[in-house]
Amino acid sequence: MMRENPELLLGQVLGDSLRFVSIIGAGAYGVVYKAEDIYDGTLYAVKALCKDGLNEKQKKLQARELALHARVSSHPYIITLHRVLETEDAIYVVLQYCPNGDLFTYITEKKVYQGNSHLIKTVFLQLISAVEHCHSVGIYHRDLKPENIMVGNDVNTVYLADFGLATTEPYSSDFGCGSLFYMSPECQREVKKLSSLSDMLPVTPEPIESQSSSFATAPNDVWALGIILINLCCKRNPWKRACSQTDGTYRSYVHNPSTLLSILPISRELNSLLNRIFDRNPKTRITLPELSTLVSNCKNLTRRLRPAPLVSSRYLAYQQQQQQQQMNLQQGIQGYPHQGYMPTQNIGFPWPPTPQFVSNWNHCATPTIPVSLQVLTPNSSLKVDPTTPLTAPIHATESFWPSAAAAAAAVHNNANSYMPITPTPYPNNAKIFGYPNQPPLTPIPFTGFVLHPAPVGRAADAVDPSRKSL
Amino acid sequence: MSSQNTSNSRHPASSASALPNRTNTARRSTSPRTSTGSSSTNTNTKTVDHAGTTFISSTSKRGRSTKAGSVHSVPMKRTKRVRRTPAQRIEHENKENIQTEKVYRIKPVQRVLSPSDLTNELTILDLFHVPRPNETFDITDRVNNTSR
Repeated sequence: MMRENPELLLGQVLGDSLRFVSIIGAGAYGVVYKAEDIYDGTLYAVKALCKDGLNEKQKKLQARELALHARVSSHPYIITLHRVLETEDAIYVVLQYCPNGDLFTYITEKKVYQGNSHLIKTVFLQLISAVEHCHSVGIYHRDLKPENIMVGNDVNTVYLADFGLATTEPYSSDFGCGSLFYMSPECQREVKKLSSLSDMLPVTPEPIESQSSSFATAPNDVWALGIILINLCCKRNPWKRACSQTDGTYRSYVHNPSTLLSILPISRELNSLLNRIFDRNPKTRITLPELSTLVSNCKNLTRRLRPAPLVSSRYLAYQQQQQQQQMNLQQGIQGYPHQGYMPTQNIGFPWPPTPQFVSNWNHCATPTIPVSLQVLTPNSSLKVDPTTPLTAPIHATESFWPSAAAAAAAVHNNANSYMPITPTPYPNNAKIFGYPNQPPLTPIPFTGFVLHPAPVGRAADAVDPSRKSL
Repeated sequence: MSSQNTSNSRHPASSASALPNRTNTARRSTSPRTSTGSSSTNTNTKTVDHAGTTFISSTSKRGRSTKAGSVHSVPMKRTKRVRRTPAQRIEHENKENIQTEKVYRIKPVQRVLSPSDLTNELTILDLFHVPRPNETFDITDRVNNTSR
C-alpha cells in the first residue's frame, strides 16, 4: 500500500515522534521521506523499506546494507544512521538529513567547485578520509560516485552515503558491479564480441589481474575516487568506460598518459597524480594514505585551457605572406598606374578648345572617350531645342544608319531620337580602371546657327542641295 | 568644320591605342603568379575546444589540414548502479485490495534498533524475517550462512 501511494504517509507520525513532511526520493528500494521530530524540530531523512514483495536475496542485500552502514556511521564524513524502526510491514531507517542534496547536483548545476582548487582539495580529502575509514574496518563501498555523496549545510562538508553495494570481501568476483563511469578496468569483464572496426584496431593486452576470477575491491574504490576528482576539477568524465577495447579515449590514455592533458583543463601536477590513480595494475596503484598526501601537497589542480592554433607556425607565416601579397596586388589594381590619364573634370571635351565651351578653356585635357559632335546647318525653318545635344557616330558608315522604316518610326515618335546610339569602343572603362563616375556636362548653346537633322536616306558624304547653290 | 572633324578623328585613334595597354595591365594584375617561397613540412597540431574535445590535425606541404582522429572527454551523467544479477521485479498488490483500503495508516512500531544493535548479523537477518504466529522459526540455515 505504501509503495503504491507513498503520499499516504505524509502528515502521519512514526513512533510517536517523527512526522512525515515530504518525499525526498523514490526508487526500487523504497521511498525516502523528510521527517521532523515533533518535540525538538530536528529534521531527518527516513528511508522506508517494504518487507512485502522481497525475495530472500533482496532481503539479505538490504540487511547487509544496514549492517555495514551502521558499522561506519560514526565517521564525521559518513551519513549518520540514527536508528531503525520496525513495523509489521516495513522497516524505517532514520538517517541524517542533508538539505543541499548530492554532490552531482553541486558539480553540474551550481558549479560551486569550478576553479576553486582549495575547496576541491578540502572536499576530496574528506572523501579520502571516509573511504579510508571504511577500508580500515574491512568495508569496501564499490559504488563511489557524486550521486552517492551528500553535501552538508555548507558546501565545505560532504558525507558518504548509500552502502547498497558495499561488501566485506577484499577480493570479489562480482564483475560489473557498480557504475560504469567509475569502474576500474579489472572490475570489468573482457568484451567478447567486437565490432568490425574494433577488430582492426590494435588492442593492448589487459593486466593479468583482470583475467583472474576475482579483483581487489580496495583499489577499485581508489580508481573511482580518481574519477570523482576529475568530476570536481573539470565537471566531466575522462571516458565512458575504462576498457581499451571499447573506449577510444581510454585506449589513447593507455598508450599515452598525457592524453588527459589534451582533453581536460588539468595541471601537469594533477596529471601525474592521476596517472598514479589510473594505474592498470591494482597492486601498484596508489594507496589512500599516499593519495591524501599528494593531494594535500598539490598546488594547482587545474589550468586555463586555451584553444591551440589549428595549423603550424610555419604555415601560419606562409599564410600571412600570401595575404600580404594579395593585399599588394589589390592595391595595384585599384591604383592609378598611368599618370598621364589622371581623371579630370574636362575629360571628354574636344581638343583644341572651341568657342562653344568658353568657361572650360583653362581646364582642357586630351580626350580619352568619345565626344559629342554637333551638326550645324543654316536652315532656320525648323524648331529644335538648342539645349539638347546631338551625337553622331565616330566612324560613320552605312551600317550605322537606321533603316527607312526605323527612321520613319523614330521621326513619328520623336524627331530627335532617329540618331543611332553612339558605339563605345571600351564600355565600362570607369569600373575597370577606377575612374570616377562623373555626370555628363551640358554644353553652352551657340546661337549663331540652327540645328537641323539630316534628311532620311541621306548618305554621310552627301552635300545638301542648298549648299551646292552657295 | 572639316579641320575640326580631322582633329577629332585623330584623338579616338590615340585613345584606342592607349587603352589596350591598360587592358593588358589589368589582365596581368588580375591573374598574378605568386611564388610560395620555402616549402613547409608536415606538422601535427592539437586543438581543444570548449567542450574538451581534442582534434589532431596534420598539415601537409600544401597547407591543408586533415582530421586524423578525435579523443574527447564525456559530460557527467547520472548513472544507475549495476549488480551482477538484476533484481527481480516486485509483484504489486491486487487492485481490489487497493480499492478496499482507501486510507493507510502506519502500523505500530514493534521495536527500535540502535546502530550498535545493527552491527549484529543475526539481528539484521532477523529484522527482515518476521516470525509468523504459531510457527517455530528454524535458524539453522541462517547460522550456516553466517558462518560462511
